[in-house]
Amino acid sequence: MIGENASAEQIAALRTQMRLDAPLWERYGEYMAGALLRGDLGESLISDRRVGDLLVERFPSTVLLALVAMGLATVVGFTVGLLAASRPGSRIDVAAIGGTVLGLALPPYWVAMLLVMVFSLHLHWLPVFGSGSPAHLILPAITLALPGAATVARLVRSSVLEVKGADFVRTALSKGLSPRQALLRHILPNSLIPALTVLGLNLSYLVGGAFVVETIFAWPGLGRLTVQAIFDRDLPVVMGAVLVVVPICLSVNLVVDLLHAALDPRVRHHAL
Amino acid sequence: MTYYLIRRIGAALITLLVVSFLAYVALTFAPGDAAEG
Repeated sequence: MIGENASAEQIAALRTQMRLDAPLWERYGEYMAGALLRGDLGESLISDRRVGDLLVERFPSTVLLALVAMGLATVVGFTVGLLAASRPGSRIDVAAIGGTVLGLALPPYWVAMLLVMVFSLHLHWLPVFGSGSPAHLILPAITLALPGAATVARLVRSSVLEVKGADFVRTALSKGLSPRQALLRHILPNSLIPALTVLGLNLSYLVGGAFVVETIFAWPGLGRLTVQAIFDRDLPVVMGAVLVVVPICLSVNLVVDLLHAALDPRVRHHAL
Repeated sequence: MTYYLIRRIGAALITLLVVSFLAYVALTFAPGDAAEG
């Protein structure tokens, strides 16, 4: 900040100016009081801009990417899970399970590079990185959605199969409900609850800024801002990102738990 | 329900303070470029 040739007096003056001579707990207390009570997250050490402005600028991109990835994971996960559960042991089931294992096992940074290689460099269908058009959103969203879709598909498959064999489903079928009616009224509502929980937790991870994927695709979101700030040792920006991401993750968790209780009376009576 | 919510929000606040404190300490003591050279 003041160069390598700064004199001892200049260094001492800067330390005093930045309050580095105060004890750690005092500095932390002052920072948190400013952040929580006045909403003042300080200024970036690198760009001299307000941290709040930087975060507000990046937040919509992250939310957009998170929602698209989440929607994709939900649609693909439920479709594959239901298809696999409709004919357990069939080729469709084996292929679906194999696909989900791959989806979970492949690291996102590798998937990202593979997608770029195929769809951007070879086929020239989609841009390599950046933002600004819906086409830019496709590859990062697929990369982010893949593990979520795989998890949801496995969960939906196993819980549909489990609920299918439950006594109440047998009763419903014996009362004359068609398999389709039993699926829609009894099997699906009971088997979707675990998947909902996983999707909610996944959303909190995505909104928190998918660091690796945002960095690879140069997506101007919270994740990339944070990674850049960590490399720059830009303490106020990293702290600002932490203070935004942590409450988001906690709130999403709380909402998921409340939703879980609202959907499942057994949880409502036991936990709340 | 109200008690549950208060408990959860209290726990969330404590989590926020703990995580931010750990981040603050870690960032404060993280070695700079000079330390790497």
